[in-house]
Amino acid sequence: MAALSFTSVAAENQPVRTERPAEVTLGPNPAGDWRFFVNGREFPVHGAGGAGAPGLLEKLKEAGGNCVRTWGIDALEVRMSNGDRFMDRAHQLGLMVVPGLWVQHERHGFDYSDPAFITRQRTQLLAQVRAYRDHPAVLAWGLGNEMEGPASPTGSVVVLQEVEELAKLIKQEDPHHPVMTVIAFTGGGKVANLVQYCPSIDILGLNTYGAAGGAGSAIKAAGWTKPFAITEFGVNGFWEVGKTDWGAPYEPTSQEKGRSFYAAHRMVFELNDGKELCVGTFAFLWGWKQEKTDTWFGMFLPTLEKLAPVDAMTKVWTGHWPTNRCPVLNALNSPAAAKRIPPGQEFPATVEVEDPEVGVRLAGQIREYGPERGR
Amino acid sequence: MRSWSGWVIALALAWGLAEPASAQLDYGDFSSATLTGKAWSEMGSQNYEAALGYIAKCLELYEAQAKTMQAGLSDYPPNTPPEATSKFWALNDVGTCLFIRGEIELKRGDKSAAKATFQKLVNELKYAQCWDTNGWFWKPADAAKKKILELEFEQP
Repeated sequence: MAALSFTSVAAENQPVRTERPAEVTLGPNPAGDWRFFVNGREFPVHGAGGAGAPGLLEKLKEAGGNCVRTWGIDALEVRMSNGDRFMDRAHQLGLMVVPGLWVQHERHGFDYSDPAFITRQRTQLLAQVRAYRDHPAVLAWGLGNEMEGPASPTGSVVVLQEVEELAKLIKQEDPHHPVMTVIAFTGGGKVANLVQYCPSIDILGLNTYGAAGGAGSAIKAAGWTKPFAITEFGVNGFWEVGKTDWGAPYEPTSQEKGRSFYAAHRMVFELNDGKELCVGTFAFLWGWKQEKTDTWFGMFLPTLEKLAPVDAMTKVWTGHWPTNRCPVLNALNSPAAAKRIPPGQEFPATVEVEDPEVGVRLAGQIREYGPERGR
Repeated sequence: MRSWSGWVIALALAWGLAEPASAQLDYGDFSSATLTGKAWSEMGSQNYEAALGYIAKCLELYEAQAKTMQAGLSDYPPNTPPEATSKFWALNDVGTCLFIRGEIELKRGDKSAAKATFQKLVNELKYAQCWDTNGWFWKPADAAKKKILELEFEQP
């Protein structure tokens, strides 16, 4: 085994040299709620997915987050603003990481009846585990992401069987970190199949948006009894909202998105049936991306300005609102809204915005929507 | 000086204010399902006064029965097959009506009224279920709990 060494900075800014992985266990806390324990201390996951751009890990720490999830191993090597690798910068900031081990999807053309592919994938994933298993920032392994078939009601059995084999192999390679697999939560059928085919999985990761608040009771009803995490959640997905008559989904405002993040986390982690199995949540997406629109899922603008979902997560993670909350867009009205309008004609628009702290600067953009380009 | 059209609008508004919304409503067969369906429909068309009128009638006629049904339950009643829920028709329809009322109050910006309505639904009719035309049941009280949390997110 290659010995890796890491230099980190403790909270008191004292350099600490550690060559050991963190001691990570899973178990109930005194209240009976399942939690991670890191080096013996209870660790509720206050997590986010992404944070891959320079400056975002620092923003996560500032907001009260303690964990970040990636989808693949490459993200761990990205250089951050101080020149360090993502993984090392996270550790310097006191953040834990759930490294994603990417498992290929059948819908992308990978054939799970092909022994050569199976061997190749196993070899690659185990090499990734070996490379990072001793890093002190590793909390758990994120084995796959929606590889079972995102839209499937039951998940592909042959893929789930291979996920089980991979989980067993990872545990042989690294017995010190739990293995979580991540599915697109589309109902109980998939969960029941995971119970049947993947007994080696320690934690169930659920990517779920509109249904996140009720996920705990739903998976219990499907027979899941082990811990789970919400691995992607936040705003309702573009597949879950109303559409214009030409098929464009109505994107919620930032304020509406903030409400969704706030309510979903509190429901699944603090209030609803099943919360006792929930080890925490990962907000999606700590950063920005183009998916359907430029702004649907991103919690930041590319200028690193935070949006209302960041305020929501700051509140649920720390118990306090940030000093400077985002401006509130109460209304954006125009006679042209959601209508087909002729080119070249002018329409008025009114915006109701409030920001009690520092005032607001307004800027506007009109973007073309075309389903064929996903926007 | 007020224009002629301005006076017409003012008179029309005055007439609308003076005339109770209920006088213009068609309650159909007065069943809870009809009243709830009309309330949904009117809310969708942003005819909020009409929607509230149908909701008020549904509560007036069926709230007591809904509470009696709720009192006999300790969990959500089975919803498969979907017809199994018809035994709890008053609970389901009155619960749904309360959710619609809260939504309308939110749309009108009356957050404290909306919160009170959602809380009433959670406290008094928590086992109501409502059929979604997409093919499943949803739980109005769970949706109301989410709305209450969302209201906490507003600026202090």
